[in-house]
Formats: sequence, C-alpha cells, structure tokens
Amino acid sequence: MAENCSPLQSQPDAKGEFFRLVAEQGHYGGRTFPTPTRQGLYVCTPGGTTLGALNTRDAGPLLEMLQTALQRWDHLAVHATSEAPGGYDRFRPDRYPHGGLVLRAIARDLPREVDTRVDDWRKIAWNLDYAWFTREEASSLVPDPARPGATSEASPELVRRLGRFHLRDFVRGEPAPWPADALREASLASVVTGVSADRTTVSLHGRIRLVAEFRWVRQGDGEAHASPCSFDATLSGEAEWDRLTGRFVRFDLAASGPRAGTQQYNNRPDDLGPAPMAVVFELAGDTPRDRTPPHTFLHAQYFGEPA
Amino acid sequence: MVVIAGSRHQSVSAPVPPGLDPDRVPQVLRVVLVRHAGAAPPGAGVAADQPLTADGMAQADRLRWLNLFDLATGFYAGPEARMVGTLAPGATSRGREVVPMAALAETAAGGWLPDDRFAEVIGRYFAHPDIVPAPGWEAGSVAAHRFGAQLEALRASHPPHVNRDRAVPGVVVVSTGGRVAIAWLAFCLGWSGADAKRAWRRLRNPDIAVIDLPKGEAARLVIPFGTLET
Repeated sequence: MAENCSPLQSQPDAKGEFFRLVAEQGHYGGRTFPTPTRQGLYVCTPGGTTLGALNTRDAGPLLEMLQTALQRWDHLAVHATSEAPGGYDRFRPDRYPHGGLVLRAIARDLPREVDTRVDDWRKIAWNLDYAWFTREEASSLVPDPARPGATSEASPELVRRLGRFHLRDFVRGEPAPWPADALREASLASVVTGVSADRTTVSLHGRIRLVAEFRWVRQGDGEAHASPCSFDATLSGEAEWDRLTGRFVRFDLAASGPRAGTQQYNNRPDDLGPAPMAVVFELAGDTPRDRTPPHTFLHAQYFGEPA
Repeated sequence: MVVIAGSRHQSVSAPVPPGLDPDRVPQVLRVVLVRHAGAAPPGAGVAADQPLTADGMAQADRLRWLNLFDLATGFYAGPEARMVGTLAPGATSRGREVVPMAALAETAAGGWLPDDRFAEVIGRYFAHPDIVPAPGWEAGSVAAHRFGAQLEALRASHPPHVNRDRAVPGVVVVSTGGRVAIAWLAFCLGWSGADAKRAWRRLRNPDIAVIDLPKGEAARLVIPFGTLET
C-alpha cells in the first residue's frame, strides 16, 4: 500500500489514527525536528502492531527489514486481531476522477553530454506519481468533429494542472508545486491523425515553460536558502480516444527539456543544471495501486479552486 | 551509536552533523511504559513479589518482537521479579540488560486485602492521591513523584538520537505495576481520580503505553494503554 504520509500525520479520521499508531512505533516515532515527517516503509499487523519500519532507498537494508518483520509476524500474528475492519468515515472527499483521465507519471534524468553526477543512486534515480483529470478536461484534447487534420487546444485547466503540479523535478524527491506565476508559456494541442469506426487517434504537441525562485529556511539550523528553478518542457505524444465510452484507451505523452535548480526536498543541490529531464505520462489502470492520489492533490489549487 | 535496521543514529553528544544546530534539537525522552506480564495472583499469606507465570513468560517473550523496542537505549524495571521478567526477553535479544530500580517499583501496599476492601482502598488511592489510602500504602502522589523523578533522572543518559539531518527522542522501556503507572500518568496528564481508576481497571497484563516527555513541557500521551496487541 502506498500512501502520502503528510496528510495522514494529522488527518482526524480512522485512517490517520491508524497510520499514526503504526508510525509512532517506527523509526521516526516522536520526531519533531527538523520536521515531524513519518515518511518511510512500514510493515504492520492488521491491528496496528508495527513489525518493521525504515526510510531508505537502498534495497539491502529494506530486504533486511522485511525479513525481520516476517520473522516477527510469525511470532506475533497468532495474537493479531481477526476482527473485520470497521466503517470508515473519511475526512476528505473522494476526488478520484471516475470516468476521467488517470495517468501514471514517471520522471527521470535524460542522458547528458557531460555528466558530473555522483555515481550512486542519484545517477539512476526515477520516480512515480499520478495525475488526475476530469472527463471534461480530457475531452478537450479530442477535436470535434473528429476528422483527419482537425485540431483542438487542451483546456487551460488541464494545461495549468499539468504544468504546475506534474512537471516538477521529482526525479530524486519531493518538490513543491510551481507557483501560479511560474507558468511563462503553456500550450498543449492535438491533431487528429486517424479515425476508425469507434476511435479517434490524435497526436499531442505543446510546450510548457516554468520559471520560479524557490526559497526555504532549513529547519535544522535556520539557514535561509534560495534557488532559481526552471523547466522548459517540449510536449509530444499520441493518444487514442474511444468515442463510445468517451474515454482515452491509450495516452502517451512525454515532456522533456532542460531543468535547473533545486528545492528543499528534491535532493538536487549537487545537480543544479541546466540538465535534461523528462516526465512521461501513460494511462494508469484502476487497481488500488493505480488509484494512489497525485502527490500534490491536497494542494488547495490542484483542482483549480481558489486558494 | 544506535543502529536501527539500516539507519545509523548518533548520540547528540557526538560531533554535530553539518546542517543541524544542536541547540535546536528538542530534548525529548520517550517512555515505553509496560505494565508487567501475567504473574501469580496475590493472596493471603502469598508474597507480594510473585514471578511471571508460564503464560506471563510467553507474553513477555512475545513483547520482544515488537518494533517499538528497537529504538530503546535502556530497559528499566521495578525491582519485582515480574517487572524484570517482563522485559528480559526484549532486552536480552537486543544485547541489553534490564536495570532494576527501586524508584520504579509498584506502589507500596500494606499486604494483601480481600477484594471488597481492596476496591475501597484503590478507589481512595486514585480519588485522593495526596493521602495515604490505607495503612502501609504509599499515597498516589508520592508514588507518582518518585516514579517521575526517576524517569527524569534517566533523561541525561538517553539523549535524542541525531543523525545528519534529523533527531528523534531518546527512548527507554520501563516495566512497572499498574497502580504506579496510572498514578504517574494521571499526574502528568491531569486525569481526574475517576479517569485514573477507569484507566487502571482497563489495564491488561501486559499492557503498553507510549509517553513523550519534552523537557520543560507537558507530557504527551502518544499511545494509550489498551491500544497495542500484547
């Protein structure tokens, strides 16, 4: 199970309480400094007894923790609760875009002519996120009527969300969303390239250019930091729309170009660039894993609502 | 140096990691408070200090698998056999010993009492912590104070764990009896006598609570008794 721990650390419902019970038995139990984060990997019983916990990117320590947890399970499972879970009165509404466009986003660095990155995980880092768009937003990418050569501009809301919340440099960590005024150029258009009985194929192309200075105070020592950040992304892709269901059945979009700068939590201080990066988007399934909310979806402006 | 499943945490007394100001590290002691596992029941003519029963030993053995104990740098107990025995498997399996301390003992009681008389005395113990509830008994406030003072004294030996960019509280595991545990919690958390008595009645053997003690600030109950599967 993958979860965004930030809201769960204070979420006033059963889900938040369960997470906190598990996390307080783990590696960051009681942590308040420099942040109260409880991020990490946890193994627990259904009743909330923590069997193992760790925050790592390294497979070796993770494997060791999992093996320890399995051993503990063998000793503690007999005592674990067998009660069915109770009802869940969720604190936040379900914003999953049923019938809309749910994309898996994958970010990674691209090959460089001169590579000065440290030869460790940072050189092969990649990361996952999800992007949510409503059915109405998705349909803005489909020209109507669908005939070869017809074009359409993506809705401003789709492009805004794509840029501010999904073209972040999350290759190594967790950057904040781009501020609203970071969007210096934002376009995404489609052209019909094929039409069959039920489906319309479109090519996608556009450009999103983001520029902003990020500032933060390192809580560990109170030191102020600032970094000019940018991402100049060329968008290119192809998608297939099922006219009967009103949904995309294929969606492949790449956003690539030079990025620069660092933020507090994206582990780029040693790689300020400019250097090439790509974020690619593809259709997600609808398994529970693929319903993981976008990392920034709790941001007040993710869905375009006023701050 | 404490090794936590692949993550290395240095004592705050070690060289200061870059980017971290030691003056900003909150001085918090986390107490994993364990009510002892099952022991032979008290009775007329039976010594108060009874060892764990066979079931109690099995309970104590299960406790050693708890992840919660992994961050502890000290295991302490009242001097009673059941207190020490409750933590022994957990401490030993982590290469540590249980340190018995008189100040962590169960509230003194003047010998065995029949059930109805005991109920009356325990009611007074929680309702009026400043008075001696029965001859030979220790007042609740006295028990809470000597217990709390001992925990405070442990703080210096268990500073926060600090590594390059983070700090988590120092952690001790403490096993004791239900009466003193609840008297101390009631004192720290401002419980009424009725709340304290209710909490005491709900205690299990063993039972676990987690309390954070920030230096100079109010205690925080992180995990109440009765929450974890024990």
